[in-house]
Amino acid sequence: MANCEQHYHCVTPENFTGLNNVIALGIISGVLTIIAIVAAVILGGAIPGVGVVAGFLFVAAIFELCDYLSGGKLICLGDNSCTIGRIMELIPVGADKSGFEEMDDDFTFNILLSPHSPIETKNEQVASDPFQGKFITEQSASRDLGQPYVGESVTITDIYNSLGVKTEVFHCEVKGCRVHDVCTVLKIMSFGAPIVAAICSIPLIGWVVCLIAAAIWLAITAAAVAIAWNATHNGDINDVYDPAAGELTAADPDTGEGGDVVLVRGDWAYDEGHDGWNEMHPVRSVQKLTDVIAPRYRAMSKADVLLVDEFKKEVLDPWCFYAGQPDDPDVKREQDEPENDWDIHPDIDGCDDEDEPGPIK
Amino acid sequence: MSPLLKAILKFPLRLLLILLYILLLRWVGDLVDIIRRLLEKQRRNKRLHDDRRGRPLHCRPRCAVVPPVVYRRADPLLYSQAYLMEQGLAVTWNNPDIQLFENGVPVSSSTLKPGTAYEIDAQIWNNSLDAPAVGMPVEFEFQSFGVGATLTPIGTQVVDLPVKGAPGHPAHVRQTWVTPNVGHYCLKVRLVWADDANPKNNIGQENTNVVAATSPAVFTFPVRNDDTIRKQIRMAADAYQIPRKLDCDDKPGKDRSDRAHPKHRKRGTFIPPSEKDADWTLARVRHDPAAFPIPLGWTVVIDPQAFVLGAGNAQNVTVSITPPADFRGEKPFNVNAFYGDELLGGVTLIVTKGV
Repeated sequence: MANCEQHYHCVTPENFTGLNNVIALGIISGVLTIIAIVAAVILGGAIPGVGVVAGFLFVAAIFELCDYLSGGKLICLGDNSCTIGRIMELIPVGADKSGFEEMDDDFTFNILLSPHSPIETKNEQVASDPFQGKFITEQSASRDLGQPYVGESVTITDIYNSLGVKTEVFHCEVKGCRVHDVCTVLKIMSFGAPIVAAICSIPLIGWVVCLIAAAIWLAITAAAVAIAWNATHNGDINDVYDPAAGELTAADPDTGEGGDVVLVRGDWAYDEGHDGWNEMHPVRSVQKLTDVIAPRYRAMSKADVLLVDEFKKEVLDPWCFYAGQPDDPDVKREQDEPENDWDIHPDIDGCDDEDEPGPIK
Repeated sequence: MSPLLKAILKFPLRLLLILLYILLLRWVGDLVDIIRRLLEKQRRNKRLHDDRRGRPLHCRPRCAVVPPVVYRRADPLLYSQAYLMEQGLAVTWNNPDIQLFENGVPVSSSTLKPGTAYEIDAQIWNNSLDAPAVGMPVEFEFQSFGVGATLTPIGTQVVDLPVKGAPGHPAHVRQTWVTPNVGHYCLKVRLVWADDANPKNNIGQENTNVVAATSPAVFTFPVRNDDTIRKQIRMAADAYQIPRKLDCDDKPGKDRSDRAHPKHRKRGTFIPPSEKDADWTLARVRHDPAAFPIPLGWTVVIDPQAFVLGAGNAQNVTVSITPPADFRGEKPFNVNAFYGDELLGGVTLIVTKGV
């Protein structure tokens, strides 16, 4: 299985440039291309170098665009963050996208931060929860960059009809590989732009040869992108039958009851590509805790400060601590030691470097 | 600094990065990576093809499936006789993960005093590199020595099990147990974890008894049929002991083991995804029941060796073990009860002489 999330990393607020580079490079490249063509038509020959420069700027624009899609649009709010919540909504791959947006083949879900209830307003959640409330609160990192914040909510029919409350949720995105794969193809194929421009700039080469070169380049690019696009679709049907895959269930959209409680780890970020909310993007791991935590932490009554505090001590802190251990370099090193290279049981397929006596039995 | 100014200043760096991307042939690496993943996906599809044939989508309404690269499952385990025997391995009932202590001193489970407080220590492993099992209940039970007797709960403890290789792994959990009347007892430890990568390796038993050989050493224990159907029981003995671990430098790879021991490959057995990299072939070679027969010079007589047990009935089985005349020391034997190929239980009998 492809580990797609490894290709996505948010940027610090200091390094955030948004789409400015892409737009600027795209405009300059386009203008130079038009100038080159117009000059060639009017003067009867290409201005040396203009087309090639436009081609190189096009390459730079593609690289910038891919960087933007691979994390440049994400303002880091916290690396390796850990949150626990109940799934309110599951959004299948491509369900809320159309056209070019479908390049983004993320599987997403929205969680209600635990131990809160769907009948709580956003302000109630934040006021009673100094530990996880930050995830659904506007952060200075995005505000200082002039980014809007509207938050993300789901409508639980009965609750909305009776109380007029929309349930504030925390958005989580499990990355697919399509953006990365299509971008890889685009980046490689973009080198054809200055090459075609160079061919077209040769005085003895006529329009027909120039157009043929451009057509071949565009055809190969389109075919390569189409292959990458179709072959790397996330939400593979085989995931359903893979015993190692996990099944997640969302809450009842009418009552807000049920739904799996999950521990989610990943990069806590603000995504410029959305209307304005924080999210876990990319999600690096999901672990189901539904059967582990006490029912009072997924009840429908409002959570008070006391319950939130208990939840932190009993669930949030220990789980996030233990779930974070695999990122510790010492733990990684230890896991790579030959003594830990067993898969059945240490006494069955383990190995030893030293002869230590066993316990008295 | 405004984002626009930052963008302009970043441009020379961008050009440099593009140049490096070309010169360092990173684009070749990226292409190879995509092709490799496509092939991997194709292999996976082929592997799962048979699984999905004729089956509807099992995912219920309002549910989604998260791919294994993101979804994490803990795999708490201990030495689990039933699971290991199901995979074709010999087992001992002298469980390496269950240890009794009296006042902090380790003692054998075969020499227990009545009405005495012991601490049962269970050693628990996690076969997951990235999913812990926090707050996992561990149930302790005991039964009269034998096979299939009624279990009596001792208590339940909760343990935080870290990932493999983390500090605190393997985890240890202790349960106090005051022994009842005089007699021999078996202990059972059960790990309770819902979303488990392999739920079959969660129950471990400690069933040992020691008898001094007075030519022969005689053990008698009951075999009970807890099921609701009549069963034809077969008893079998072997001299298996957990062999010393291999030196890490001598451990062959999985492929090498498969090539070297094709008879032990046993492709038909279901292996959970958490153990897909396990060298089961080598495990079957090293822990092959046939490789641990009753040693020459020893005589083991089981009476009766085969019998029919009605539902809920019990049958006493006597095992007489005669050591060679010059034997000194202690020697364990495992006596297992089977219903067809299914392991019903067993005991480890330790014969001592001159110790």
